[in-house]
Amino acid sequence: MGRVIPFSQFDKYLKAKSAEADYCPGTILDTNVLISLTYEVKKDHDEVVKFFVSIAGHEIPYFSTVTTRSEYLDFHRRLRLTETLLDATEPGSPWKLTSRAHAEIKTKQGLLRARITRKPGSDPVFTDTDLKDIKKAFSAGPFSGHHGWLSICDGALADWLKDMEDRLIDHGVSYISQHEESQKPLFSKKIDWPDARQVSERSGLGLSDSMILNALKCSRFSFAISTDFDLGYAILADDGGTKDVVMPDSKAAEYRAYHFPKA
Amino acid sequence: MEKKKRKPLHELYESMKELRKRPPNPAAVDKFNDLMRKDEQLEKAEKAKGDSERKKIARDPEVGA
Repeated sequence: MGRVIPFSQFDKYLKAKSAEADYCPGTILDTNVLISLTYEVKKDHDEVVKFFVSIAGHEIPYFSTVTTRSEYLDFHRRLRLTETLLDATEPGSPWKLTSRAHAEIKTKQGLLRARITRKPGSDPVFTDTDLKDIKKAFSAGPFSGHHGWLSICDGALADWLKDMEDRLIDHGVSYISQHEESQKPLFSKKIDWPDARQVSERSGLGLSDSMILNALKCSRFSFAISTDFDLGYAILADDGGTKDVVMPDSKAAEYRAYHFPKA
Repeated sequence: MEKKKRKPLHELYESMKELRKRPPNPAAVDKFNDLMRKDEQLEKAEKAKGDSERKKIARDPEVGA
């Protein structure tokens, strides 16, 4: 079975791993670690930033899967729309909202606050259901029709998601692909859907995370970096698994209660 | 060709913070405001037309007799 390595023990772990003959430098980053790194509201944010500062000298090649990248961009899409819409209701905003759109955003803001009060630590970010309702309030004006919402998206998101993706690449996060000739040596097995499905069947891990874990299992990398409890659980539950996950100390401590055998 | 040197990953946070501060595209804001202004004008015109229709009906002795 694999292991969960707390951030604080990573240096020691990496030293031992890199001495192994078949060690392949590189790691797969999970979506939540990228979100925690870039969004200060996340409770793991400080721990994650500190960790990446501490390992910068190792120059580890970072990779993301297509799932990771789309989930990361998707979170920031919702965050950007939330911030744009909330700013638009503020006095002095350049957007001249209709009273209907203004009222809908304020209603959703109230519900968002209530959600955070009920579940402290939740992200102050509109869900897609909230955004769909808000979109309706921007649509079907007698002249504007559907163009009102499209102008909001143009103002908030045009080139923005692309810039986000470019910044990810500039900071050393590459997209992992078996189709890329130069990346062939990074894999020991073909990434296949039935294997990802089996990962989910084993521990109930969500299918997006199962695809990330399956990509790790098919790679020659020794570990992934994540803040997701379920991913660590799936690695610990993987009898015969050889891949590890590196996690914040606070998260790694949570597995004690589950009595997994020591690897 | 020389490979572009990557920036440290922890600096992505500062980079994203700066990106989040970017104001909305002014051309899109102008277009949106223009659309809303035209909606408002059309609604006013519709309402005025409705009012004059209502007044016309109210003046018609055949209606409501």
